[in-house]
Amino acid sequence: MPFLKNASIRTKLKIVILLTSGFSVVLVAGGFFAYEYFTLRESIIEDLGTKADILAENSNAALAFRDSADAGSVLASLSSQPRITSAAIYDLTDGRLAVYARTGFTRPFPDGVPPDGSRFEEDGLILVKPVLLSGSRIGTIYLSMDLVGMRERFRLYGEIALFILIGSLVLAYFVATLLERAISRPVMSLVQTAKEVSDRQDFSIRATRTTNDEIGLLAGAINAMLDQISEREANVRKANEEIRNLNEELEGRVQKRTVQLERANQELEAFSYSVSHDLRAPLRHIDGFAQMLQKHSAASLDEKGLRFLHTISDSATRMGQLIDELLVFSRMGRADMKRADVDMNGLVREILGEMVGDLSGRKHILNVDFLPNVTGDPSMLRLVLTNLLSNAIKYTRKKEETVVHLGYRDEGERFVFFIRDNGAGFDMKYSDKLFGVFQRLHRSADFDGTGIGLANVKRIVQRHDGSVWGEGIVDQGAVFYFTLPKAGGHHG
Amino acid sequence: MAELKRILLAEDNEKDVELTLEALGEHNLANEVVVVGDGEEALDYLFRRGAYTHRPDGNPAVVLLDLKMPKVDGLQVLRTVKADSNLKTIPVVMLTSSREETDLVKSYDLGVNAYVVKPVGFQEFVAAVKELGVFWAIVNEPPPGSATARK
Repeated sequence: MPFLKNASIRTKLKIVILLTSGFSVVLVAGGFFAYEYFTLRESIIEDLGTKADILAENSNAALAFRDSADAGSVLASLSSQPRITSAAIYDLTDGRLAVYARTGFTRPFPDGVPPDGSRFEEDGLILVKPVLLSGSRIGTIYLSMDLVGMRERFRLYGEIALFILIGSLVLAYFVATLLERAISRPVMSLVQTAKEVSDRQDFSIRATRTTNDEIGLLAGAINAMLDQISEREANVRKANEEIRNLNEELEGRVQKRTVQLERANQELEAFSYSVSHDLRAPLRHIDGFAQMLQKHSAASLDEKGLRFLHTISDSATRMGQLIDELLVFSRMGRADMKRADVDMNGLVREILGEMVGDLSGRKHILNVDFLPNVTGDPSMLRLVLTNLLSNAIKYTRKKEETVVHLGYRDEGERFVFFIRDNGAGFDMKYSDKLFGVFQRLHRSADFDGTGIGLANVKRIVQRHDGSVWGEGIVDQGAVFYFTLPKAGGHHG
Repeated sequence: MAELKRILLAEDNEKDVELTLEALGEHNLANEVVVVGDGEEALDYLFRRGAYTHRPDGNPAVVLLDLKMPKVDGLQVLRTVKADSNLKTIPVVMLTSSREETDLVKSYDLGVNAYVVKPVGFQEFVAAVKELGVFWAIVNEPPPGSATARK
């Protein structure tokens, strides 16, 4: 029933109840009618039969004596029976002995003796019965009656049935209304609950369970679902809370650490300041006074004494150099990086130009590939190349011929630069010491230096988000690699 | 001998004073050097107050300032000198151990005329001080009103 699809449950419920009760009333009334119809016919036939029997009894004599007048008077008595429409008495020779017709009744009588029995015709019941005398037939009686009485009775029955139908429908309507309340109200309250939950996002609301039927079960199921949802929501809220707490804690920790770092940085600054200023003064004094002593007392000092004074001066000077380099190293870690496009070829050309003096009188081959431009701090990158190239030139000093190759590889996201020499090299088992501050793999007597150069290289390359490493074979040479990201590093 | 101009040396460290005077003396530049031990004394000298109320007339040809001194440090002396209309023309040279960039920047911000880092090696120190002395006390023409001394 498509029209019921969009109807509310209450309407459906009413329609169902009304249809059901209407059908049942109609069915009951129909059955009742059928039953009445048949029993009424039986009883009419029986009633008419009795009347015919009485008439037969009364007309015995008239038939026996073929007395039409007597027969006529017998039939005339039927005038007190308003439902009898006509009557006739036949003798055995098919002759009509007497007839009776109610006033206004015009249907003709059958001509011959009609067969025995009863039959309903359109306007009434016709009954034909034999008239017996001492067990033998002496004639036939014919009776017809109208069915007005039966029809009236049926009309009455119909009226009653209609009344019952209307009454039952009215009653059913009220029952349906009550039932509808019992069903649709809890359903509507469930709907309301669900709406409130979704509107207010309040998962603590619960449906009220008023019945133990399917709707009650539904309410229970919804409540169980809401329990789960609110539990899950509480868990989510708790987890969020924890995350927020953790974040706050983390932020606090970061802040604290930042403050600590800033303080440490300040201390470091103060430290390097005091190193720069305060440690150098006594060194200057040592050297200065040693020299003044030499000038003042050179005459009275022997060679050994003079050598001692020299050593004092040299040591003070060297310590000053170490302090200066340490300060440069410290500044490399702290100084702001100035990013720019760096022309590596130009840079290398300049640096090599400054180093020509170191190569004078030496056989040498310097191979420099055409290098790509990079992004970085030009003065820092200059320091890197200066250190690595001067190392290559320094450690090849004792070779017959100095061979240095500066080149690069393109590795997609970064460039790998390398500087290869055929110099003194180093033992790979000490490679972890290469980039340490003041770490040296050669004696000062063989190759001078303080051991800070590669530490600076490492610090600068790392600040450019690159890495640096070295490979070497003793007395055969070394290769130093450093990488620079193509887009340049990210932190300053 | 050329005309010598007066040099004011503000230096708290006696050994440095001795070394500086030695270096200047090696080149006969030490005769008109006024030595003060801290910034306050330097300002007293320049403003002719306290112990220097009755000092001879005229501003020094150059002030050699140590950066780190007790009471009033070199930068403060520099600031005061360069803010004074009568003194701001005096050349001021920072003669210091500090190579710190912040000190350098601050000094030049305040209008220092030169900034010299004292070398650790004595020979280099002597050379540096000599050059300073020769330049400021002999080569450079000081602003009018500077005191002079004849050798």
